[in-house]
Amino acid sequence: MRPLYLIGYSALKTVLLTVFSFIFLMLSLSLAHADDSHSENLQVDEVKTVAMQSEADFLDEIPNAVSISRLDQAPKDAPSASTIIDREMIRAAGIIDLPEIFRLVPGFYVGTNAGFSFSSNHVVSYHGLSDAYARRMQILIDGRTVYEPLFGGVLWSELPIVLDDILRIEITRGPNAATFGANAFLGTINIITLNAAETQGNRVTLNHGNGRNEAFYRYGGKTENSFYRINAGYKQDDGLSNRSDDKRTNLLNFQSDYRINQQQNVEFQFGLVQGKRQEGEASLDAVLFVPRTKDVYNHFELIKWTNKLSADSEFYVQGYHSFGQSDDDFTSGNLANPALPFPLVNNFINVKSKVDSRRYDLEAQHSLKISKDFRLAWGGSVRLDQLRAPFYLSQSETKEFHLQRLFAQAEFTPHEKLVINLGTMIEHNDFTGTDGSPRASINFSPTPHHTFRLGVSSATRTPTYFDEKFKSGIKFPSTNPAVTYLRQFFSTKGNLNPERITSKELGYMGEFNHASIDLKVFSDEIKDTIYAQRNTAFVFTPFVRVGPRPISFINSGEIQVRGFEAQIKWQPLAKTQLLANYARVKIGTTNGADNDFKNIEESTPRDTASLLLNQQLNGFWNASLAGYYTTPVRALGDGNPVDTNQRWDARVARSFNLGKTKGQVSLNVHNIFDKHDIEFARYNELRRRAFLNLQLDF
Amino acid sequence: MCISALPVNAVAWTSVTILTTNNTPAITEFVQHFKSALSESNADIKLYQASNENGLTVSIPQDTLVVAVGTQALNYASNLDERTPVLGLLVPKLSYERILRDSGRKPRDFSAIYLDQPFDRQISLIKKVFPNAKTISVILGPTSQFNSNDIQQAAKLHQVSVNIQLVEKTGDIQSVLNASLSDKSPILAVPDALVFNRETAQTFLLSSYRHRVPLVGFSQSYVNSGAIAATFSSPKQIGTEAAELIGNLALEEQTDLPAARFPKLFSIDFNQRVARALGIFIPNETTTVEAMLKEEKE
Repeated sequence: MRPLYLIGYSALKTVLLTVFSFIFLMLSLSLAHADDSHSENLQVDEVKTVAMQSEADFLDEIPNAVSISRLDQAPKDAPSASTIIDREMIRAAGIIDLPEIFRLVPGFYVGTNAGFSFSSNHVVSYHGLSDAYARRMQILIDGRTVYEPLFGGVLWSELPIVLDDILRIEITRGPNAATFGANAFLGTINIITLNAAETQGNRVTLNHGNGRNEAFYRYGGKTENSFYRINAGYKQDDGLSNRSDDKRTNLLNFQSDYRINQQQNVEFQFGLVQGKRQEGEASLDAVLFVPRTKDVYNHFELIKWTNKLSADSEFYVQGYHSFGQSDDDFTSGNLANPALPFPLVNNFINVKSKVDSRRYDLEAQHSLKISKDFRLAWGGSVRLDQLRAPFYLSQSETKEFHLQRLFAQAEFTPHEKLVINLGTMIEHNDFTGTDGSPRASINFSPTPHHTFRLGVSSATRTPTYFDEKFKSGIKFPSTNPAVTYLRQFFSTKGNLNPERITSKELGYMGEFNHASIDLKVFSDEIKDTIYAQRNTAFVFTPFVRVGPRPISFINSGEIQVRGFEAQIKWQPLAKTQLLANYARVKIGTTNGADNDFKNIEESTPRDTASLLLNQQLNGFWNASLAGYYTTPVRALGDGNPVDTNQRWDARVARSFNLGKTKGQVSLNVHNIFDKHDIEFARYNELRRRAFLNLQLDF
Repeated sequence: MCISALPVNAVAWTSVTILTTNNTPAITEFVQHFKSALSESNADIKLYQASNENGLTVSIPQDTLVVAVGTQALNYASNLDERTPVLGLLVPKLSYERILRDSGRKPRDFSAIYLDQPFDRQISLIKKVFPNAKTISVILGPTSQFNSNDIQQAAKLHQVSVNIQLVEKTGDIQSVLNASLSDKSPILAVPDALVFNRETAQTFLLSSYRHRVPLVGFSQSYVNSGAIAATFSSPKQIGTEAAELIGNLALEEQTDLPAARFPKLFSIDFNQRVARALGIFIPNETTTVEAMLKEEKE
């Protein structure tokens, strides 16, 4: 059964096919006359009108352009292992969904459209310990956390961001609460987008392929003192062929940079996504979690004032508001069950679950160079999360969650061969009170191209509403007025302590002639693990229990995560680039509340490896090959044991010029050998998919 | 030091006149240094100073060597009596060449020590900082496009390829820059009235830094504002070099000026903050200059 909103799908498909055919025709015509030298000499007459160079071009002062904020550390000076993914890598990998790129980060595990309840989005986890809603990672876009207040994960498909606007993604492999705040527990993904000045002009991006049609338009313009850009787009995503995970989203975003003067600028961002998302999984629950479509909507507004006080001192204040809504309204399958002592009054019940969440966040930070060998960044933030989720929390009122943070981090370079990082964050929140997250590292470079890092870091994870407050259940009146059945999904006991991780790592970073290598050996200890368990104390009376006992979360047991990670970049030839990653991660558990606690040990693949090879063929052609390998894993929650997966993706792209229009067309094939990869859960089968991407700049 | 037995066209000079048209702090500082350097030279040279700051005609003494400081001054000097020898200082090569061409004067009595650096020297510096660089990105505009051949030749010498992009109008700067940035190769900034000027410098510096692409500038100001390195001749160095040149000409009783050339004295500067953030190892300044000088001698 195709939902109503799919009407119009075939129309867009036809339009896209027509556009692609036209472009190919134009392209083949342009290729016939292709001229490899694209430099055009200007007429000498034109030059005469141009002013002559003078001594002022060489001698005048230029306003300081670059100020180095607290996060601007090269990986070799940073307190934790990190991976930088730039836009060229994103492009070369030929991905279509942002979370896919994290397969190229050592120790990461990505589950395509993992969940089926509340979200049918990707899950991205580092070192395991995750169900379909990774709650132990911090995800930031331009300094704004996109961590969902309700479940804690990220709704990747509904982020108001266009893949092509991403400048760089900085991934911290390890806890770094002192820099990124609470929930920077196992790792942090920090997405930085291009600024408005870097995205001037018109760009049209079209994607067409198996189960996917997308169209985006971007316009970047400027006024006397400001640059701005606007993106509008539509995405038709049919997800995996055997899943009810279709998504239809409209996107609109805006960004502007207003330069007040040489020192100060104000950045404004706005983003909106509105659409529909399917969820549910018939193979697991044909009655209550039936496949269905819900309305989703989110928007945010951000304003940031930056004042470059000098080349060595910068101050900013940033405030944002975000709103997210999902509206689930569905009718169950036939609930009639002859085993029940009394038949139900209504065999088809209607469930309404609307979730509204709001976040207000204000942050200020001052980074400064105190002396030649001492840099400091310090600041604080306040946050208010408001959440209304009557179905999940069994309360109709809006709940509030307050968070206050103070942070400071210092970088000392007492000797040219030594960098010492010290940092801490002190946080106060409504759920767990006051927590501290200190961090220290010593980076020693015996020679300029070889660095060793010894780091110790501690972070806490504040429980989410899911962990702390979930009380969802459905009541079913029976024909006997005295009997009402109750299916209680969750009944959390609350009062959880925060989880605490202490991470120790020894790293090595080496720069060689045409290669760089990053190695890391780590040992992490997690205490007070927030762990799902059946709540046997839940009292069903006066109702009659149906289904299993509800789930609650408790603090239980310790987890030890140990392993090794390697990341190698190699440029054997000027136009050939190779990135290779490997991670071995072993999880151990002790003092678990029950035998199932040991399941955590299987929540990450023991070995993961990935590879990206990119070859620039000539001025116009580019080809790349990506390979991904994971050993067996069994994610928590809805995850099932899945076998070793090995997948190869390929991309071929050609740039072209059509008059003043510059373009690129690429063919991206995922899983080229069409292996039947089961990812995350048995209901999630990944087959070969191909996408045609077209980008036009004019 | 009086000169006898003159060749027909050459004019002997018995004094030096410093000609300035806009007395910016940099020019004022240069003039001061040049004067003291010249007075320290062995030659006994009479020194005059003329300024046409108000745009009025200035009187130039007879039999004098005019030292025109800055492009505008050189342009002004090109209109003087063509027997007056002129030496341009603090003048970029392309501007000198254009003024020479437009004035129809002869190089032997209308010469200069350029303000800019030979590309050989600039690429040499890039190779010192990025020994593994295989490509260098260069963005040229309407004025600087004439450097294209010089750049390619210098690159060949250092066994590195250059990716030259051309900008035709201001609006195209960012898109051309984006293309260069995606290449990740170090960018060599080349002065151009349209491309690399005071207004666009910030765009270039900020964007390249955000993309983690090192930019090598052509002046100390670029380094101060975020370029990773630059090679340049300070006004002081040019002053010293010019004083020495003039002193020698006077002592040797030379009437022909030597051909216009790049300065021999130069400095390099690095931005340690930017280098650190980009994870780039910066070699020692003194040994780098020594190595560059040695290369130039070879």
